[in-house]
Amino acid sequence: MNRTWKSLAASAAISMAVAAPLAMSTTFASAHNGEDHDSAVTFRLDSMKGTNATGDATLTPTDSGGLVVEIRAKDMVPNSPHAQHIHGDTSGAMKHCPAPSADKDGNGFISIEEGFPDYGDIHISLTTTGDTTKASGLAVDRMPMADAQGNLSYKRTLTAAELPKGTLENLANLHVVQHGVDANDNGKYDMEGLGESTFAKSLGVDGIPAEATDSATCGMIMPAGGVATGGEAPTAPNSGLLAAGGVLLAGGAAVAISRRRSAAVTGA
Amino acid sequence: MASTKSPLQWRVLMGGAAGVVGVGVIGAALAFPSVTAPAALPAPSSVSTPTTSTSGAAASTPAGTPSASTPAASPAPSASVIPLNQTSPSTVPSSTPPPAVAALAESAPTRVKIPSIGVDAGTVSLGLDGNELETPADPDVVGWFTGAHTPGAPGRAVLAGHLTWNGRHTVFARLPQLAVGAIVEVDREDGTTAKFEVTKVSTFPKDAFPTDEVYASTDDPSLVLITCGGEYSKTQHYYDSNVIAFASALD
Repeated sequence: MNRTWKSLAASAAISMAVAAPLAMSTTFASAHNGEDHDSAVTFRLDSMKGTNATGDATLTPTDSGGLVVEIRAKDMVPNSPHAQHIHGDTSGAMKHCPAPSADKDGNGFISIEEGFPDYGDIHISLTTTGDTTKASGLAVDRMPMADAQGNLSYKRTLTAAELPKGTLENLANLHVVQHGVDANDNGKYDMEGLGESTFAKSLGVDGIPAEATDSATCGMIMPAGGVATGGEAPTAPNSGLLAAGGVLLAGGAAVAISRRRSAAVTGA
Repeated sequence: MASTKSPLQWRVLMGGAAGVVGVGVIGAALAFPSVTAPAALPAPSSVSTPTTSTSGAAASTPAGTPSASTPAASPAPSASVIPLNQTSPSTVPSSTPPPAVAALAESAPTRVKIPSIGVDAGTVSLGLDGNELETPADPDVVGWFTGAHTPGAPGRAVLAGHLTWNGRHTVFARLPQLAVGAIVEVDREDGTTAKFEVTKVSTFPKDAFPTDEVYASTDDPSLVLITCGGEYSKTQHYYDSNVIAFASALD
């Protein structure tokens, strides 16, 4: 068991080491002209039932139709890979982060099956490298690792081709979810904590700890800045991500808040 | 000791997941609720409005029960048979209520009533405008943010309405006068009514908007109502502040 997770961890660490600089360099190259920070949206990652993990995610559209995804989380299971996804869909269905009452079996944690009705299916798998489709949903060897203190940092630029249709237009219906909990407080995923992952088992793979797949954090989108609920009619109430109307009014404040937020997260 | 799993097996797992999760979602629906700017504004002085307009895609609710959703339906917040979310494989969410107040399932709001300040208005769904909260194109209806929870479900619901519009008072004109303890009722698509009590009303400069507090994570159903306030600039047609009311669910 231990060896398994070490090997998982090791391979994840390697892919991080390889992938992170690549992702960084890609992002850096586009940072000066490609990222539309005025349209960045933030998600506060709240603890799911049974965990203390928290964090922030920022999604920043790029000029070329892509999305820069940045995540910082803390109090995650240390030295362990954390599967993370953007959940929800673009059909207009209302999806949300699960309330504690989603824990139907009452074991104190929200399993994947318990979360699906609320947060919806996997829309994008936030891997460190390679495929980002739902197929990589549990690709823990390409998921980010928390460090020895339980801090997790992630940044990847998803190209326009990697974004399912309608992603940018439906950010309000999407959520960031991270998985991986430590029910028995021994600093690792093991069967003694919550038993076997019934989700993994349902996919035909036995012996995966439920701790590795249960939900750790979930974040719903937080619009930036104040709300323009006064004065004259907005000139462009429905013009999408690059809309000018609201940005002209409160764009400065939005950026300031967004920057302050990321500064705070960086400092934490 | 349980059997060990190699990365190879995880890959198998991923393959299995691919099979299970299946075909990608087609972004058929429109991204944003189609809120169109009114070409000509009526100018009644009344604050209330009879319209109930929940727009398109984002407003659709799962498995609707045949509901008696007349606007005048009496509040029945706790007695409820609530439909499940559409993708739920399980059944019956109504038992196991650990929260202090009875929480409802997610369901779109259809009407907002705040008797103490004369609000009785229809609703419209709000998405994002850029990265900001959209506002209702119709100044006489209350907007609800689809990215938050729905009123009455566990968690935060966010409603926004205009204070003024072209110089006349509109749906949330009297929100700044809302008193702590006032009752807010929200009729929902599933035929139930969520009832809230105002706990706090504050004014915040727009450049110090309390984002974390407004979009807070709450275990019990909670509600915020947002409108404009503070100083109005005639040249910029812009209020410098937001008035925000916070409310908690009642049984």
